[in-house]
Amino acid sequence: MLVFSLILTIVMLVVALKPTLMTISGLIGQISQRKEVVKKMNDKIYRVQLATKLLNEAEAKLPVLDESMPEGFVWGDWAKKLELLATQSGVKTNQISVTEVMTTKGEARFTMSGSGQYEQILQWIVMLENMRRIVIIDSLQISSAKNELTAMINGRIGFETRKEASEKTGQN
Amino acid sequence: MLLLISTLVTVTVWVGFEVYQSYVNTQLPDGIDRHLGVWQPELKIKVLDELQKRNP
Repeated sequence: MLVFSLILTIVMLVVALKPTLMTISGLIGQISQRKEVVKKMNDKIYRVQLATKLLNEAEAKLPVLDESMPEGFVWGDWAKKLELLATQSGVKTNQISVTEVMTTKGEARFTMSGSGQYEQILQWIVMLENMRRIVIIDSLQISSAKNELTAMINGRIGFETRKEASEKTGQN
Repeated sequence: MLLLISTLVTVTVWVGFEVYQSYVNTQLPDGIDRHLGVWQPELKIKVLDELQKRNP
């Protein structure tokens, strides 16, 4: 009788109990994982809400960012600003040329020369460095001819590549 | 008899192990991991203020 009971227990254990227990434990495992996912999602929702709040607070200031790092080079706008700087500082712009555009890097190299008096040149450079559109001056050469100085600037200007922009908007 | 008892013990241990495995090896639906990445919402307002102070 005992032998029969033992055999029956073993058979029941393998045939009936094992699959049932496995299903139950699998479901319990899934529930605990889903709870973890819900917790993480709630945390993410909170962060997204916080980010939205921050973005709304700073919305008025955001156009300045587009002005500093516009999407694409925006040549015309940049040239107009340079003209304005030259007019304001009294420097006569002799030449502006873009020597290299690195689209993947979001950077363009340019050469620019202008002539005027020392103070005018100084003001021109200071204004150029303080431009809202980000300009990096790599080198500056000043030479004197006749009664005025000529400054030759080699620099870089940044812009946001379209790929970066689409990545930025596509981030989750 | 002894053989049956040892078989029962072995089967019980095996079933226990299998149950534990099925608990541990539950998998999340595909692709859900990439939505669970944690990021810090931070906006550097100071930079925007500094840019605003510059010449337009």
